[in-house]
Amino acid sequence: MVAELVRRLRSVRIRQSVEKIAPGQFLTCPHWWSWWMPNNPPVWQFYDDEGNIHACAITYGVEPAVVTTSGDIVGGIWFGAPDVHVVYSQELDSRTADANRPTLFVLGEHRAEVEALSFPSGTVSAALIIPQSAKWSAELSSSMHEKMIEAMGDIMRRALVDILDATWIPLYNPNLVASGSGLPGEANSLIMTLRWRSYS
Amino acid sequence: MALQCRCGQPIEAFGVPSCYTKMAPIVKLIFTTRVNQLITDPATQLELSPTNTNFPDIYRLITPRLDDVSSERPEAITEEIGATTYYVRDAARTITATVGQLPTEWAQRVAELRCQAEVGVFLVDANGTIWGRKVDTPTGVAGAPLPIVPSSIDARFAFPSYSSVQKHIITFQLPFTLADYEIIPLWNNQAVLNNSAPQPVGFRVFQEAGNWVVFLFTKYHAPNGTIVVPIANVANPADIDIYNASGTTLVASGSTNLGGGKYALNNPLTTGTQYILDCTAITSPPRTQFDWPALRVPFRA
Repeated sequence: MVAELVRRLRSVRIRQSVEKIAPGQFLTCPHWWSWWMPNNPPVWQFYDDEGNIHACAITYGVEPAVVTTSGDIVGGIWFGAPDVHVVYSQELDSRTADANRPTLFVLGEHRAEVEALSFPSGTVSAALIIPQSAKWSAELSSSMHEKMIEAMGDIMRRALVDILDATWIPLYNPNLVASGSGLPGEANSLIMTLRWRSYS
Repeated sequence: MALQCRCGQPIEAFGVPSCYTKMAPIVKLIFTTRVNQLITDPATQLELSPTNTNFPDIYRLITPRLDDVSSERPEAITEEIGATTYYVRDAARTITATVGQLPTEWAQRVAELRCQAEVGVFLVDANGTIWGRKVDTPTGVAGAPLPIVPSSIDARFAFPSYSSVQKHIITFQLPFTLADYEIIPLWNNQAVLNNSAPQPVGFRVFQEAGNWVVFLFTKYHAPNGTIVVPIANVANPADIDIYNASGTTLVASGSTNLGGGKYALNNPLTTGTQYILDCTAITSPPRTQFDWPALRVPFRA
């Protein structure tokens, strides 16, 4: 059943309109890709309305977000959910260490319920790992939490998945080494309990 | 149609195929005015594109993802005479859709459907299956939209509370003559689940500083308190055409981009006269963002 959850999360496509403010610069509403502070800002690949792919730099932690690219974005940008990986809980530590951008790790261990006259449902724990390489103030951290849970709520709603609870585990580590990756010790985590139903 | 008993009515076998499509929760509605258009090639005929000649309006009448869609059909209308119950007719099925977190202006799009003489709907479930109506034809069976009763269409905005978000509640009825067993899956296309309809375009045509001007704007406010959001720098302004009332003679075209969503016309109009504004040839901002193909509308100058 987790395979179906992951398939649905990976098939989410979100469109947001952009407003051109200068050659190669566009305003848009931020989403999950914007509510964190990368050590080495990645290049984001967004599709536009005509299916053209754009290599973009973006602003982080501010609203609206500014998207910078070399070409003209036609209409809006299309993007999906963060990368989703199914992992064993025992390997969570090693698998998350390479996360250099917000990444969703879904534990393979899950619970399912099957009843007559209802769709089978599953419940699973998932961790959104948000790498951090420099100290964030507690206020900045909590604002990232607020916006990231909003973004996750949007993604889960589109995938028809309920977030039963979500716990923000902020990072306070004065000895960050600016590796730019996830665990150990260099990530904020949004631990969620997800419930979904299988409609097939 | 509801079953009409007749002499010699056969009783058909109860067997069912091993594999069949099950309905998942409905997550989108696709409205259309082509209620009686038959569907024999769903892959082509249900394409969400302005170039779809069978259903040219479904590309823009697909709702955003709905949060909850339910449907109820009351018990059939019967009459009791003495101790005997006589079936009279089926009751009408009501569909109720609730969607949260959309702009308040969105309800107008739904309410406008009530002004149409005929409206139909396709239901899209969580698996991307498009549901419609099964129609018996002289040569076999075809699909069609589910007819709805236009006068029953209602869109309400529910205020948020301390424990609930703002939401729209849409209700409409299917005609009582539509039997439940006529509802069938027509096609499966998961891409429909991620589809995003273009936004409608607002317009005004008026005189300003000696020019006749076409003003184009979006029908939604901007978050920063901008009530009117102009559509600036359309390409090409010359694609803004004004025809006479019959749509046969070109009267004026856009000539100058005045900025701020305003475009001057190259010929004057006559106040009080009926014309047709035609912006269907505009290509930028793209048609995926704004519904240019539908902007051919009458107006009075």
